[in-house]
Amino acid sequence: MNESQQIDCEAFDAHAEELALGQLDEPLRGRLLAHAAGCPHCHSLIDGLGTVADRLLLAAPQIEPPADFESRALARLGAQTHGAGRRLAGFRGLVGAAVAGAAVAAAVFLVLAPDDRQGAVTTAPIVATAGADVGSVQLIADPVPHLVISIPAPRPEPGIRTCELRRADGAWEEVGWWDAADIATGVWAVGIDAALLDATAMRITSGGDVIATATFG
Amino acid sequence: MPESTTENLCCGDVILVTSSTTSGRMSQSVGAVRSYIVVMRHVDRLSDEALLSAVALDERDAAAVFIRRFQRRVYGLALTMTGDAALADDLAQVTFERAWRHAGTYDARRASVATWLLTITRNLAIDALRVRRATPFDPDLLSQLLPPSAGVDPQQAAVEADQLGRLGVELAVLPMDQRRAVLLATLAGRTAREIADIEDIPLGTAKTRIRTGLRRLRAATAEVSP
Repeated sequence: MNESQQIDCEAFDAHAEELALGQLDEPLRGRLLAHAAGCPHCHSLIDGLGTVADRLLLAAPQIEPPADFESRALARLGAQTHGAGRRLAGFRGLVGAAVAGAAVAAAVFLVLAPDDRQGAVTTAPIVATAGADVGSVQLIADPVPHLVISIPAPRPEPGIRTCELRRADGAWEEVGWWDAADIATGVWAVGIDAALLDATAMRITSGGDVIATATFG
Repeated sequence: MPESTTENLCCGDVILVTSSTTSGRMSQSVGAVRSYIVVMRHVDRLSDEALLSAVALDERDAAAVFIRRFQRRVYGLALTMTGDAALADDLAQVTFERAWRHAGTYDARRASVATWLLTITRNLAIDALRVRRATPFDPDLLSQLLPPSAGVDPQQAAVEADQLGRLGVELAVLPMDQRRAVLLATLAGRTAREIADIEDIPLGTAKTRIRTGLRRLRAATAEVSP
């Protein structure tokens, strides 16, 4: 293809598979992607083909690497950590990562200290179904939207606790869950969608039963 | 394994304590937001996504588990694509380094962790192969890559292709010539020109097989994932 040639849908279509397979070089690759960014049809095409091409990689045979592979890889990361190459993990990245994992398992907990509350949007007491205040929940906007639950004396019973927020339209949305056995400290945090900063209530369920609630505002 | 403490927590004192080796490093890593501390327990039981989150937080235990969990996949793809054990080893090492460096950019909405990681491997392998495409194609490789034969019962194919889900089922029922072309293009990283040579077919035919196969897979999987 002539590099000065305008990329239209027909030209994009002709290169879509190579693009999805990661086989194209610049500048053609960039020009095709620029076209797709402004063309819903081609964007959908490459999105679908790319998803297929990427997921097919899972079909590759799994082969044991040399015995010292893990130790060498860790040593390599360690060298980077102590050198200039490692970026510092900014909080945005940390919570971004937490958001990514939140829907699956909240086993990494980001915790907020008392002197960092300026980003809090809303705080509400958490009330157990028996009527007692058991802790607090905060919806925090900065630096990225997240929720922090603090329950100083969590129930000792093991089990999965699910956290849901009630959106402005009244619908409940699950934002994550934790295993009580893994969070004896009673503090849990999760990144949330910015739209949920306007949540009107929060509830915690266990085995389908509501065990605590909080009402914002 | 990091342990947490639980003493004297009051309402609002939302602090967890990590092992000393971890907390010091975390305090440095998060810079201005120094009061954010992370607790990880049972790292080996974390989901792939949560584990990658921990890797993003520079947690060495998590990095070790992450490497252990995915090294066979990563090395397997690298070796499949390059046919060179030393090069595959190097590419796999670089894959984990890049994953660790860019873990914070992972988007669970777009791909699983395994898929995300393998695309890093693939892109590295493609770059490497551009420089040194000298390894002849091993015909035995293709038979290893091929999923259950065409005509197989779709339910049985589904069981055998659990990692791929619906995509694996659809791949299994593609015509053989298209399956070969698609797998050579994806798992072996071969271009249409190379596939034409391997299969002894015209270039246009190779392109058509890749195109038709990939688009059939796309259409089939799109039907079930709106």
